[in-house]
Amino acid sequence: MSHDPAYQSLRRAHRRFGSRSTAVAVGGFLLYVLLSSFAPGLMNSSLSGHLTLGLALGLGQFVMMAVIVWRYLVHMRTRVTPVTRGLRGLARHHDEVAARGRAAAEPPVAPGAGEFRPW
Amino acid sequence: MVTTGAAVVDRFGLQLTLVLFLSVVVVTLFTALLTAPQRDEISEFYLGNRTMTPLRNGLAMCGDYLSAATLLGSTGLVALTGYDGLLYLCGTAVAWMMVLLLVAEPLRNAGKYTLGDTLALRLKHMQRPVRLALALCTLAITTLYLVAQLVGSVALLTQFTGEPSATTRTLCVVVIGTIVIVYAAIGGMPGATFIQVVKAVMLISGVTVTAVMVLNRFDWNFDALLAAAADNSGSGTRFLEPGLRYGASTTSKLDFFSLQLAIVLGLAALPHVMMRLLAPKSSSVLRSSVVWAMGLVSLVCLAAGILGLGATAIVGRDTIAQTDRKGDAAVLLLAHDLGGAVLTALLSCLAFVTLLAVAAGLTLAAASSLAHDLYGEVIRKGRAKETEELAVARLAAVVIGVLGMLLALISWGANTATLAFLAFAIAASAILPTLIYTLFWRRFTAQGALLSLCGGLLCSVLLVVFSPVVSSTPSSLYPSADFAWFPLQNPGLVSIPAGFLLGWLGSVLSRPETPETYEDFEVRTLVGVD
Repeated sequence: MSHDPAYQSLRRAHRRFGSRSTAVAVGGFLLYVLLSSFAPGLMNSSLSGHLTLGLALGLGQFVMMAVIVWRYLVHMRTRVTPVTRGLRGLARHHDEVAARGRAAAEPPVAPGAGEFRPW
Repeated sequence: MVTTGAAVVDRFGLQLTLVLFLSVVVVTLFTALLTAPQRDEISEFYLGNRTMTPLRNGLAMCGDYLSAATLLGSTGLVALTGYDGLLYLCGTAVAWMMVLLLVAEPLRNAGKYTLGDTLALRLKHMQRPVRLALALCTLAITTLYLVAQLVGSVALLTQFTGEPSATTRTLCVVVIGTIVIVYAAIGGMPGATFIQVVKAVMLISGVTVTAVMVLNRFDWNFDALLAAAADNSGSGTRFLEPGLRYGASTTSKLDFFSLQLAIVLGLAALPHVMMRLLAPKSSSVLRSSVVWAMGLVSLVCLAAGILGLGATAIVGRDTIAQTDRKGDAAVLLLAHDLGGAVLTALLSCLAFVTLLAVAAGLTLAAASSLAHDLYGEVIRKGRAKETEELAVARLAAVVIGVLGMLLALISWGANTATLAFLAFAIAASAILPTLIYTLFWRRFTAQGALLSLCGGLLCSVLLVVFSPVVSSTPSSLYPSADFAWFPLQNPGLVSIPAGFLLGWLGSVLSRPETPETYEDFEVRTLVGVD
């Protein structure tokens, strides 16, 4: 299956999405921590009342997480699930063909054996 | 205002807490006994009920993930240090994104009972040494975190009775530890799941209701809450700016970054959280469960932030700091002010149940790692019968629980935060590199896994030993000695890159595995084998 073109494109798309979204979520947060520590002047600039840029960015992290989760769900629903379902069906089909081939190759079992098993 | 020495609650409150706590414990214990694995099947003991709905799974994940440290410690940190504490809460929520985006689905698709099974699929030829190293790391992390929970129970008791006598202390640890052992050893995963769900529902509703009460006190005006918090913090608007706790010098700023790194990367690799990810039967259920957990964790973190700010705004920083130097009493003081003895009793009961549930999850994770990886695969080489492995798992739960109790009694004065942070650092620098490489790197080999597991563990422990945590400052373990050449209290900044580097080095220097192994494994992680 690993050489199937559908599988290869799924693999690439999934890796690209996973690495990018993790980089944005975790990298964004770590950048925020670094900015808070080493650029306090910028983070302390007031937006309205007591709400500073730093506090607003902190709330923004939660908004960003919600957006990423939403993108993730859309990505899984539209790109990944249909392809994996198809590939799973393909794998099952291959297994059945292989099993039938094996059954044909093997000598048939004694008729009736295994049909009336005691419980 | 209540400043009766160290105790927060009066006699009535204490009795109410005790009654509430006992009723929760009795109900959950009975349920744990009833839902315990009926047949002697290890899959049921390790994974529990695999057909739960996404919401229930999400609640259980949230329960495993959020410890009493989030409820009491983080809110206390917010109450004492404002902005820096809020950053810490934010990190807890961001860490779950790692689980959601990178770890959860591939791990479930390729996993069986423990992380060791996933690694064994990928590194077939050397699976025994890898399982051994992994069991060692799991044991180190779970024991540290378990001791932190048990010591936390003593600290919580201090809120009620003042400094407890040696007998009270021992009694508290032994009672909590015994209940934890019963949950884990008899109930197995079904019992642990039930208490996690109960605890998560209590935690979410308790924290949200209290946050709503705080906001209601300020007429839903967030700016008024911030203003009042800044006024009562004793440091004015500095309270809402970064650096109150970690801003003294570049070293302490780096220390804070190091801590955040360990939290964001380490929480995703905690053994009991990963074990919970293996339970759902299909990957679509797992996906919805993890998204539920993400929402619930974010909700609790936001509400905890409001509680912390509200505690400073309503109770005042001085009272909080006087009652408990680390700020652990902030939520209870706030509850007393908002809802009197009843709300205080509810929240303190909640804190005890939280401790109990996380400790049960940890004990179970350690026991399954010992029984499945160490006994089943390393000692008996996969020939152990199911009943035999199950007996070992139950025995291991008892042993881990007793070990945790003994260590907690020896180190009852230890700083729980330090223990927990060390556990996160080990998880981030030993288990996470191995996990990420296993899932995503074709060239990864068993030597790389061994090197990153053992190296990450050793590196984090040694760096803490040679840090100000152990020697050279008045607050360290041995204040008179001075062998602290590592300046940071949190080793993550060095040990996490070291873990990744060692895994890379070990893999590059050793002979590559056959490419088919990885290709089969990757198909499995992506497509799954339902």
